[in-house]
Amino acid sequence: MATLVRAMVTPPENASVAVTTARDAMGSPLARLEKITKTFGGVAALRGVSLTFDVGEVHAVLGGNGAGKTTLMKIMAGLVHPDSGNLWFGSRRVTLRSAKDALRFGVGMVHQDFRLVPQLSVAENIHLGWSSTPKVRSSQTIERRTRALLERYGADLTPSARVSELAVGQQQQVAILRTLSRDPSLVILDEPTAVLTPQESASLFEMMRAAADDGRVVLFITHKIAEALAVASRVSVLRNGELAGSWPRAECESNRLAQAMVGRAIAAIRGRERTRGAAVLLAQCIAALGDRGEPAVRGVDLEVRSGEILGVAGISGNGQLELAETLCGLRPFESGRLTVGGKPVRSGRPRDFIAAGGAFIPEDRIGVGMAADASVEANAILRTYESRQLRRGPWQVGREVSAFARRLVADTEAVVPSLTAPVHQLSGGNAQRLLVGREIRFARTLIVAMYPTQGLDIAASARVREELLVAACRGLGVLLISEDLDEIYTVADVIVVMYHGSIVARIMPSESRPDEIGLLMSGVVGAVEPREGGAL
Amino acid sequence: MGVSASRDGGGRGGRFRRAPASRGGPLQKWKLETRSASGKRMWWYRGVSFVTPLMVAILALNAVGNAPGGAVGETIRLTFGTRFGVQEFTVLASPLILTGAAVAVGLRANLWNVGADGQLFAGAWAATAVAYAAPHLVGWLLIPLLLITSAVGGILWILIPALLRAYIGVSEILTTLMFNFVAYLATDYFATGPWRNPQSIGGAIMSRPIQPQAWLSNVSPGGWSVSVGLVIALACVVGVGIALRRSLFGYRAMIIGTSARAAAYAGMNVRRTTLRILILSGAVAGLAGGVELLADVHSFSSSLSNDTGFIGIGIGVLAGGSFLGVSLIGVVIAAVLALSESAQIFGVPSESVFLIIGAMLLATAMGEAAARYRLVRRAPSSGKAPDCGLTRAKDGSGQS
Repeated sequence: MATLVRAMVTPPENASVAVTTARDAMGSPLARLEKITKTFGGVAALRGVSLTFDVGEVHAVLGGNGAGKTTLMKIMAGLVHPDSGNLWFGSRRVTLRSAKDALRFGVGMVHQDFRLVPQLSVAENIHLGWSSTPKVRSSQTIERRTRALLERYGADLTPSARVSELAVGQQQQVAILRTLSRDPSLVILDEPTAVLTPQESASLFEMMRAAADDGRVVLFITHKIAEALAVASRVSVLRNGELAGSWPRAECESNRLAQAMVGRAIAAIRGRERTRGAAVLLAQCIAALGDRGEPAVRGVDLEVRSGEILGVAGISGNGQLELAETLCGLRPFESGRLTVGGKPVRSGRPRDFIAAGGAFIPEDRIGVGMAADASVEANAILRTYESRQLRRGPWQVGREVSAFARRLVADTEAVVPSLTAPVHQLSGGNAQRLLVGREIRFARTLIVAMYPTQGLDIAASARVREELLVAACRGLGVLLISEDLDEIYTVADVIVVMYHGSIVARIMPSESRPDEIGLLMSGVVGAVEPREGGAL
Repeated sequence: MGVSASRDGGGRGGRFRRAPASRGGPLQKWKLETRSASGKRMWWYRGVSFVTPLMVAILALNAVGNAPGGAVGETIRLTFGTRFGVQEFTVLASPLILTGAAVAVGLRANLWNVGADGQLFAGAWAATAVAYAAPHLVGWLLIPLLLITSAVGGILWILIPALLRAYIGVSEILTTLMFNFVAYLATDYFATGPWRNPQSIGGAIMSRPIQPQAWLSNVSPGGWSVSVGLVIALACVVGVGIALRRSLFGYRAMIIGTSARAAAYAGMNVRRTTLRILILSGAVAGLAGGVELLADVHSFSSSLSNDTGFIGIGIGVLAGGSFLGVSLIGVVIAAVLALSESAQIFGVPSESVFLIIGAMLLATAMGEAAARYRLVRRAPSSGKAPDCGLTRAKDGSGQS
């Protein structure tokens, strides 16, 4: 069956040399990267990376944010040209000038955003712009061809279904099948599981293995160790643009991969001595409205003492955003009382919060925590621009401002093209480093941190958690709002669970298990009356 | 990005149509690559594209002019080679620089004051009213008073749009634009009604002239005559430019212009800063009216502005936040206007100047975009083994 379908879906002129030989020679190298280097705006994205892709393997490229995965993939797909280094297909050295060039060498790419035409059917999308598509369009013909393809890869799709009516996972299957139908010798999948449910991921992995068994190379770009281990026959790890290692599946274990990604063991500051002091955040019966005027925060009581980390667990959308904004003065509260660092914070007055020594790491980093088009320098001083050190009367002291920004960049080890570059040019991880660093250095009493590690890789996440713990050791109070229970268990001293705008439980991490909190978060277990009459 | 960039196998060339053979047309051999737009390159591109339409216009002028051979030379001589020409040119430059600066002030906070024209009239109106009210005041007191009054007039004219923007969030683009038309009608009313100069007739009805001691004279460096209005305009632009670049107020305005939420997060008073920026913008535009009145026209009428406020939008945008740029572009556009006045001698219609200015602004905008790209020739897709590359290209062409 497989051979038959292949004959049907493969255009005769497309029977390229590489794939033909590939099928005879499983395990022999199909493509090779040799000392590839690429620099963007002075920042090295890849430094001397050499990799070999063997026929018939699912090759996972694992790495954190900014490790160079995407650049590597774009080089293979002809979208980015390396500054130096060679790309070999078989025994030929090639230069890929465009995506078209890459296609000629049998490189097929499945983009994260699929690039399907939603108004067309599955079959039409797969046949779109393809030279072997019959010139006279007959829906039966292309649907028959599509059905054969679907069966070959075990995809449960209807060829005549419109793409706009499919679930995200199914749309991705269409995108992958479209690429496979061109019979590529190398298939690149860019973070394909980001939008999938676990079940959809599992069937994706099956499809990947089937494609590799046909004598292709499947290049799987991911930042999740578990996924790489689940499907790959070889795992290569990139870190800071360099190849940290490349191992066959049998030699991989998750600790080794994690260490390769992070580059250093995660320090445990958790055990360090801390003294709990007076309350730095006292919220009494705070109620606030959401953006659409609905009650979003319903009478929340919170207390965070200095030297303490309070974790707020909850599924996002249960009022955490509104709560954080209310505490920081960005959103007015309808009722209740709020005290930060012993000083009252009036409703909707961010200046009160700032004057009380409060810092806020918002969920929306570039947009709230930073001004996207403003320079690194301007964003570095966003909290302290009014300080005596940085101004003379109404004038800014340019020299001091630059020095301050340079120090912050150096302290946080953020990689920036220059101090005058707009922050939207920074990668997510570097922007977050700057933001977290700025806020933690600015805070004098309280840090409200909302999803501070969202979108960060293991190393960057570990760093942020370390910084929060160190801040607590310094005597700051930390309110950590997170969906990630592992994170909350790692750093929080006390956990409260937020559901539907209210605090439904207060738990000591030592006395409960994550799955209990999970039930509280989802509202399956009814509200547990907060102890001590509601004042936590 | 590129002219012929294709991202993946599908989608191009229409449904089910065979894609054209690769490396066929010229578009296949060249492509655009993005590059970083450094400040130096940006100004170079801006400069070239700004001047090119002017050169074309000069050549065209030479072709259509009635004076045999010497139309362009004579025009340039009349404009920059005579005492009167230079005086006229500097008089034209000052309000343009000021309205350009007014727009640039707003853009610092990403606010669009497109009502500089109306504020110019309001400023001139206020100055005229005060001049009539104090007919015997001595010049050294009267002139500063009238200039300040004109700035206040501009402020009053932008105040309602500014308040609406700051407190209710009404788009300042719409309100400032609409206030222009109110200003035009009010100007017509005063110039043809209560303040009318009985001697003025026909299409040139204007108010009684203000007293001569309020007139701005010219300074004469090296025997040339330069309007004091230009000196005032340049001083104002330098002052405003430094204030916005170096002050905390300018910093707040810039952050608000980038992200109002980030500004609120930093504890800034977004409303107050928005209000102040618009007021400053209105004051500068109002001052343009005062300078125009005192240095040039001396009477209040609708001929005070020849779309000065609208040309100012182009100047403010093209300057890209640089107040030095505002001055330079303002001067060049004034030069074009002055040239066109001289060129009327040779039968060139005065309206054609707007064609030239429009072409210059358009070309500059295109030049700015062009500075971000470069055209590169595609290399053959195979390096060491061209034969294989070609074979593969033929084999695989159907895929693309």
